[in-house]
Amino acid sequence: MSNDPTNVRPLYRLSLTARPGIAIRLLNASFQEIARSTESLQTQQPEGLYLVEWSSAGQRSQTMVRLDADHDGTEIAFDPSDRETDSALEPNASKKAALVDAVSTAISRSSTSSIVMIVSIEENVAIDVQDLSIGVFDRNDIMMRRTSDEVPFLELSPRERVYRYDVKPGRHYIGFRSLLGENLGQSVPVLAGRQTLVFLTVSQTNLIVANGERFGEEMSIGVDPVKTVVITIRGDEENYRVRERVRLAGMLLHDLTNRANSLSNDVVSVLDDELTDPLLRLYGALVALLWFERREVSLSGDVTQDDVATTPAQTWVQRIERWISNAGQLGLPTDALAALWKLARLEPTAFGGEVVVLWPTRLETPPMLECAWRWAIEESVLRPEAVRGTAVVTATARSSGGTSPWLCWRQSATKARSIPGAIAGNLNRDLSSLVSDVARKASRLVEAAQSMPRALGQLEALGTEVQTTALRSLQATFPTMDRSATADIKQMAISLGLPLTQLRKRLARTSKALDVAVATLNAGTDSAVVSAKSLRAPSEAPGLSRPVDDKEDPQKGRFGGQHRRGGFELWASFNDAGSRNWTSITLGVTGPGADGEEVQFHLHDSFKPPLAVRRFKGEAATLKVTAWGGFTVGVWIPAKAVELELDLASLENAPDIVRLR
Amino acid sequence: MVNWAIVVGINQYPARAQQNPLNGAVADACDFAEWALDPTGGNVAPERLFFWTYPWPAPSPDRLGNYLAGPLPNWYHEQLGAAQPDPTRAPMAFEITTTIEDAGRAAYASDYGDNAAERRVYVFLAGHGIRARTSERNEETCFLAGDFAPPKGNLTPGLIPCDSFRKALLHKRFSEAILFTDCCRSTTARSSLTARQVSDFDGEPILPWSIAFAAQDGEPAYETAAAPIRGAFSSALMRGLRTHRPGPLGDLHADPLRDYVQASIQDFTNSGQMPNLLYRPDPRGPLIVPGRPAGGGVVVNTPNLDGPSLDVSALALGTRLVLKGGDLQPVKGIGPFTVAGPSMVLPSLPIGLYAVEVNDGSGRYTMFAQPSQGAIRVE
Repeated sequence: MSNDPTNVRPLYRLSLTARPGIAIRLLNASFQEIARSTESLQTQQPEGLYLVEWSSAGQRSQTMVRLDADHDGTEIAFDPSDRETDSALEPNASKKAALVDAVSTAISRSSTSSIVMIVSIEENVAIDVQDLSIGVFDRNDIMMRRTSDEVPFLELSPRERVYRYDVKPGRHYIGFRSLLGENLGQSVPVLAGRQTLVFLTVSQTNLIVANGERFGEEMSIGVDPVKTVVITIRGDEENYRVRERVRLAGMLLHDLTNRANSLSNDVVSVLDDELTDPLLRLYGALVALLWFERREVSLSGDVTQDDVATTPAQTWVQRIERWISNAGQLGLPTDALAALWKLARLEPTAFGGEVVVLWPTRLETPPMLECAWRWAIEESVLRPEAVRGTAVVTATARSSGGTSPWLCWRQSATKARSIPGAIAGNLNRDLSSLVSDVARKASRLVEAAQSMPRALGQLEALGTEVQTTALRSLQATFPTMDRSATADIKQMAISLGLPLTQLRKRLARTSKALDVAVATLNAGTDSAVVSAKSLRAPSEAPGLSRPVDDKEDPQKGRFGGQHRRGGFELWASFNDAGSRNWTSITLGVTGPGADGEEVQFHLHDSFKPPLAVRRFKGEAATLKVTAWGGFTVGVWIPAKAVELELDLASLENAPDIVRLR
Repeated sequence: MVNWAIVVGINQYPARAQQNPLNGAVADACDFAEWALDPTGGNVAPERLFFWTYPWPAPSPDRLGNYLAGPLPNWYHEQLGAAQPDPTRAPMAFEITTTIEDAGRAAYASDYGDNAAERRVYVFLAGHGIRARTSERNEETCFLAGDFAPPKGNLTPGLIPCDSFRKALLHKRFSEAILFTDCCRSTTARSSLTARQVSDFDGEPILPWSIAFAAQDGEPAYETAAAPIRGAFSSALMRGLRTHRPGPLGDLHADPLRDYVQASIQDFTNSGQMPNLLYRPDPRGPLIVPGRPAGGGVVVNTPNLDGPSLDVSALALGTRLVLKGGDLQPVKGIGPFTVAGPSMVLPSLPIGLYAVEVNDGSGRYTMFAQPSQGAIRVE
């Protein structure tokens, strides 16, 4: 072997620069990786062709590079933020790199707070934005008045529309019609002196729907909630800075959805800056928490992870706490509080009692993000009072899911509160005992069915909620060496998306529904197998087979539209439920019904179950419910084959909470 | 590492599913099974391969043919408990999920502890797909199994939520899960069509996994336009599994496989279809297939890769072109070329980076990557 200097190939310099959080990979001509970095990469390579790969938030771009004597010292900068608009941006790469820090600064401070909705309509999608039911609501569900349709600091593309609402700092929520045709709500923070920019994307999709024995397809247009980005700015910042912040937020939100981690050193340095958008810092804190939660590593001490930036001078606990800021700050989303709770659970010794006592003790509005909702649910397993059962929180427990990273709820799911007496006996039981009770009954059905798939089919007859809850209960009581009862209950609460109070109610309802199934099973003498048909309601109302025209009010028009028929009358009276959130409603049917004859009340689908059966006594049958909002009630009297229908919101004696919601 | 695999391809769905027939799903499944049985490929022993297509494949003299001619491992059967795959129909969702989940559970139970063997499972599903809500609140890409049909209640049968399936496979069953799904992701089920639960889900496992989808979220997947008709994604995938060995030991991890398939799918469809492959752990993902020890980091090239097309309409007739490789040296045995029309096709080239130089002293050149997307414009 000789070391002949004449054989040494000359090296040529290559300088690569990207925006924070963008990973850089350098590949040789055979697509083998020869170097990688984030933010910047300086290297020297022999003459040849190379491929540079820029990647962030699941998106990748590539640039081919030639290095030789004529291309020594090649500099390439990659900046996706200047591709979002047609605005002419500074072409000089080095100046752009200097804008890394400018992300955290503002041009002028604004004294007002506002929510600005930027609605972007994807190409080939034709819709009038008015049809998307976009609005801003305060925590009392009052719709805010739109202030203007202009934001001078933002350069809009032809497919973007903007709506501005000047509002007081606090926790608000936005409403919109989703891609699936549902009216969804989502928490949005409003911080003092800042503007909250909400970027909504309108898409279209092919929807498959079942119609009896047939599938049908329809084109649906609406806001795709998973593409939403929310940031805040302090003043009228220039377009490029806003777009760059949107890119960074989108990258962190992608992390939250995919449990990835883009917290490279350049991103961490931006988030460490106290002037950086508090929402960006909060997103970063959630990404870090998710990461440590998944890796199950300690947050204290000098943590060094191979792909998470660290500084020896501080622990990640301190850093995350600083990024979260003050959870009690007016307008900061409840995600901050849920994250602090999670941090304290992960690292209980890091917080003294005097610190924890300063934190708010309960959450009254849903967080913005799915992971924070999960952490709030975890906290509720330890402290049931941690999540308060407001109407919006209840709606979130009933209807959220499928919009990760965001937490969205069906706006109409706020309507129902409860049907008193339906499950009263079970609500005071010990939770573990309730889970065991449900599991025992479900086991009985599974044994009788002789296979889990067959048992699932039979549980299905009792409804989706009952089936899912019963199966979860079965898992929770399987003997395991590495799980405690609390861990099982926590896992069950998370998978069902229910804080402890709602989980208890769900289990109580499930237990009651399984009672019927088990009783049916015990009554069967010839066959040990439960008939799914036997678990169904004995006389199904004909209205249920009619199509749902109004997804937000499913019984509307399905029960004949008349509240008087055949001598029977459906009526409603309203009482003050002693709460600004709820109204107590008495529903009644009077007419020539014999004592004991069945009256089916078909309620809004946010009631669980939506069917309540009462019987005539003295030519009257009544049902008391608690609700927040109006809906249509359908009634079916099987013995007389009479249908009745009443839209509560149309009644003059209805309170505003019923007429206007 | 001990490997398992479950391979399903459905061209024809029952009438109640109301799905158009496909042409390439069965061939794709056969191709994957052939690779899985190959000791230098998936290295799955025949007794650990669960294979079911509809229609059933014709007899063949290859590894899959021998496998199908022998005793097949039993599948889960709702009435019988266990049975051979039924060649007269497509498998149902429960049969697919329970068969491999039970196999994993049994392997876990018999080999548990610190010294337990690592267990990898390959899953390959080719057919139709939709996006649907699961009973666990997520919206997922779901593979359509043979029992897909309009629901009688609120839960739709015949849907396999792919990500939930992946989590179930890693829950006290296998130590590594590699899933490939060649199906559309463009149609969404209305939220009232919730997928019936077919696996026991349990949180987010920390074990290595990768899951590949034929297209990006919300986008359709295509079959090749020309015969033999195959799934475009499966075609690119199989070529990558068989030929792409970029690692220092000739091994293939999820990360470079994703890059390869995303770059290569254009050879099989011009629809713009872009596969998506997710994986843990970062940055490379799990090992998909180990290379041969003699592989030595050399990219094994596909022998029949089509040559790239050049758009030379901007150049004068008679212009001389030189093709250079990644080391900027002329490619031996190819060229130089003389422009004789608006376009030209180069000979078949190995995968890599190239430059076409205009040999007129101007120093002009055009770089391209092979395989290339469309015609390369040279100016």
